[in-house]
Amino acid sequence: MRKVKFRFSRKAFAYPYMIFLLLFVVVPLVIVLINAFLGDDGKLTFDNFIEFFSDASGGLTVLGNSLIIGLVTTLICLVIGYPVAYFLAKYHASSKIFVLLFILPMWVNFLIRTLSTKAIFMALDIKLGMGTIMFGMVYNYLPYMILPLHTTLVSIDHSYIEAAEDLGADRFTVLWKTVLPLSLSGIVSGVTMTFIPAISTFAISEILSSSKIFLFGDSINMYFSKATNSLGVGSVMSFVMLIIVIIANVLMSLTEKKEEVKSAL
Amino acid sequence: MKKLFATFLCVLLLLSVVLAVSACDDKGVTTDELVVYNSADYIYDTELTDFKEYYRAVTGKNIKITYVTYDTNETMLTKIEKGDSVVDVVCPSEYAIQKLLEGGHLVKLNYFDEDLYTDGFNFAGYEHFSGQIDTNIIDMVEAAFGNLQIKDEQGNLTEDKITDYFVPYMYGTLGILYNKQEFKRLGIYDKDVINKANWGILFNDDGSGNILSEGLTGNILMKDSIRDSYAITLFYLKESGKLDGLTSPDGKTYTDMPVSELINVADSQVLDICREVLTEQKKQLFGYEVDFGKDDLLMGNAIVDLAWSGDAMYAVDESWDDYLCPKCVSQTGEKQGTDIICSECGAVCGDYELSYYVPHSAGNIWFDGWVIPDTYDPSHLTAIKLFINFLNNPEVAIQNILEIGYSAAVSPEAIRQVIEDDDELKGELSEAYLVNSDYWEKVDEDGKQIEKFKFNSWQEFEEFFFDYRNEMDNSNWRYPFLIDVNGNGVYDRALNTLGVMRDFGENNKAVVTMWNKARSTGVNALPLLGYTVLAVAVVVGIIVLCEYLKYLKKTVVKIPKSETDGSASPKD
Amino acid sequence: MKNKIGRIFADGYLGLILALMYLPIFLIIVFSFSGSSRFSFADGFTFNSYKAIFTSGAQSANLLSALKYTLILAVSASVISTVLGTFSTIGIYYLGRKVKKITLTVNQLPMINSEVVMAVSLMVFFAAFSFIFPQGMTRLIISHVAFCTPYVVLSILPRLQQMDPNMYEAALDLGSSPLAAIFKVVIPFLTPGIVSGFAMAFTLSLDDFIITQFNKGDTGIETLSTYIYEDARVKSLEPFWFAVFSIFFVVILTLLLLINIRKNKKEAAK
Repeated sequence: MRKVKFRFSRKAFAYPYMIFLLLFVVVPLVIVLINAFLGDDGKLTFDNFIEFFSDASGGLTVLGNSLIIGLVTTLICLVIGYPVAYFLAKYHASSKIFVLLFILPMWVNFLIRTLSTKAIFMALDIKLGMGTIMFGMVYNYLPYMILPLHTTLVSIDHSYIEAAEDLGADRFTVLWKTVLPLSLSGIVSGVTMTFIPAISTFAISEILSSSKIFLFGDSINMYFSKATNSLGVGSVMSFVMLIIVIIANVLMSLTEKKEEVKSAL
Repeated sequence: MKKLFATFLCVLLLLSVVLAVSACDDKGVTTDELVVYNSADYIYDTELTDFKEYYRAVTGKNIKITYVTYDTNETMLTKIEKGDSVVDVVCPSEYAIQKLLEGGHLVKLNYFDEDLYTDGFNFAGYEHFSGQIDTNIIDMVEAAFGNLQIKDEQGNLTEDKITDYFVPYMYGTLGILYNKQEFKRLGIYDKDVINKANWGILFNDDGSGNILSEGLTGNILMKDSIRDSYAITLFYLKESGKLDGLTSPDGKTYTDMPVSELINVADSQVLDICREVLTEQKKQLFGYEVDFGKDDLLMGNAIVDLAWSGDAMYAVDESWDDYLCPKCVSQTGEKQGTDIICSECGAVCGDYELSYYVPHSAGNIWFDGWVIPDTYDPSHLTAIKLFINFLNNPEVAIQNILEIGYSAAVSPEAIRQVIEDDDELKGELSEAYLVNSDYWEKVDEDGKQIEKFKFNSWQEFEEFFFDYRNEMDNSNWRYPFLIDVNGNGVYDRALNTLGVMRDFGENNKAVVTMWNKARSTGVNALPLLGYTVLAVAVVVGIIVLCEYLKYLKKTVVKIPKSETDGSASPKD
Repeated sequence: MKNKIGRIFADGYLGLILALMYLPIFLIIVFSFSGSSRFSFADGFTFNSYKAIFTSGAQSANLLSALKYTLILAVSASVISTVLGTFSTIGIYYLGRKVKKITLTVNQLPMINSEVVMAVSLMVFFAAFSFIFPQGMTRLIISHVAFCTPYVVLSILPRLQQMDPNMYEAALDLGSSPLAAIFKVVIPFLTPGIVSGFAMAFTLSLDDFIITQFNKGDTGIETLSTYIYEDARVKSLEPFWFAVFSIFFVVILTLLLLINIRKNKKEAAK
């Protein structure tokens, strides 16, 4: 009798937080969704959705551009970051400081990092535009890609690699056919951690292109900070971003499930 | 011990309560209160202290001022319309005043009727300053907002005018801040060229649809502000002939409209053309700025910027270069003894590198003013009225002009008069502007004698400050109402080349949508995608090639290997 | 031989990437001593920009005020989320399977969601219920707790899973009250998770920009991030900012290196 009572009270520790989550995470998102259906006059309407999906205010264009930039950034980060994580795991697995050096910039305020890169571009007379944005994005998000990749690569059981080498595989085949598949969950995790922020970034594009290049985050920012009347379209855009995030995460968890099934076999 | 501690706490508590209560009951000099809501950086630094002294002198009471600032009119409008905090007096821009007025949020001020205004208080030391305000401004305001339907509390139309509800504070124009030296270097620093290009300068258009200068591409700054960017685009549309032959929904031809009407057009066909033009313009732009345009020009990062007159004046002032020759417009100055002489034409060097130009074809004049919102506290009314009146004292106005840079609504004649009578003020101005006059000790902070002056005499300075003529079209950009109507090659500013922007009203959403679309398009990430897909395809191709070569190696090498050295191959 | 070549190639690549990553930081620090923002040593080696931090009047005052608010916010938010997170994790662990899964999924939401969406949703929520939540620190602290606590939870949960369930039962059997058992047995065991959760929450709050930017309202509160955004973006990088950035870089990088070196030494000693 006594034990049941205490288990009940331990569970209760979670209740305040559950209420907190409901109130400050779920309800706000619901309100955004509701706002998406409200017109300027406060009445329920599909106008906002129509305005966004018909590209009347450039919403789809901006989404497309952001997705492309996000994708390319993620790809470049993957291509640059994977070798970094791999080499670190292979040759410097014991030296945690070395790894730390790559992750450290992540902890410096991203505005400072971005403004520093802008200062350098200006000093070198490099024109601000798409090129500088891509550099800034990769520079900013590279540590986010390296971290999960490295964590996974370091935890790969060496016996797999040794077995592959014993079976006569040369180094490239080992990498290609053994290490890469085993690090897939790290790749997926790194991609998600980079892609999502990359498509919704706003300060980077504003700073590194002098507001010339207008991305999804910039657009949402404009709707919510300047045009105080038409929150509807901004809410639609936020909602669309939320859907994209959910889809990306569902895909990620699906691949993880596949991995679990594979390794179980 | 515990008991002692508890008693100690109780005594402490009692003491603090007593102190708090006694603090509330200030039996000393009575203190009035005032809540002021103004745009950021819009009064000179010691103004509040000066006002407190003035208030003390006139009423004999102390006053506590809560000074709150806003960064955009939208923020200010939301706060006033929500109405949950006390705001006694606020300084919105003209279109925001219109919005508040139409929304019934403003209280009648009657500043221009001294009897009505001072009805309710009677102070011996009070001097009403409404006569100091430039009548040109009042005319302009009434012309721009004359047709406002102002309703009273019951909803009935009244005969009220907008000037019954507000007092103008500052005004200015929207124009082009540009780098003189760069323009000369690019070969476009010429009266005819610039006066032909007009607003096209911002679009790198020389006035006939051709590129004004290759060197301007990527060096033009626009403002990240819907209203300002839209207004000048409208002007450019008219200049470049893109509005020719088009008529508005109510049958008027755009090209026949006076500036004051054109500037407020928001029809969908015009919006479409604007959007195309704005999207095209991006190729020529350095970027969009909110505030740092003048800094970018001062640092040489860009050559042209859309700027407000106050910002422009500040930037021009900061751009003084001792080695710049005013005649050659190039940095050809060389030090010879104590002077800097131009090595090419021999003139004395020293000029401003930047300059401000308001295209003569059409322009925007804006203003803001003080109003009493309905969120005011009636017990503060006297303080409000004294505050507003205080701002129109020419002595206060000139401090504001010096600090903020924009032109005050107080007429230049009144200000001139004040300076004439005040030697101390002349000294301050001489020091600030490096005028070689008798009104100050010409030493710098280290005690060294200052030798290089910007103005060789007080008269020279007065000409600059009050009668400055822009070298391109002879207009006065500090006081656009002071114009030379007659004379050759002098452009008539008057009230009909400068229009006032009204609130967009129901067209607001359409304009915002247009602006968002213009900002979003013109940038294509597709090439980026193309290159990436290409790169990925190349890499995949290489990998496939390697694998294929390996496969070939395995099948080709196997056969001779099993014949020559007899070692077992995997295939066997 | 092959291995050596491979290693040289690898180190070369790592060195290159590392150099590129730290190049902007290095350049900013070097040129903060040049007193100009044009990346030239025309004025020689000087501490002017550093002096300017203290003498810039309004800017210095604003910077200091922003620093103050940033620290207040970070400390309160991290303390609250750590406390909330610790007890919630214990509670979550003992939830029924379905409820546990739902709670953990919602808990994940602030982590996986894009910051912009989080910021916007909180902003409209506060606007809708503005009579309950006054503008200013209240909203900011709540927002920060909202996005920091999930990290605390996920930092403590694995540690809790490692705990031997019998420890708690043993404490009860020995006569301890359930609350005391939690405070004296469970929580001490969770300490590593709690500490790393706290560190995580503190850093996240310190570094946050987007959520603070949207929810700071018009009360004039600025954190370091928002003030840098307002001023440095607008003033187009004066030398003043070079000095500020340099201090940031040096302080944060040194701090983190020291913390981690200490951590490594501790682990090596074990």
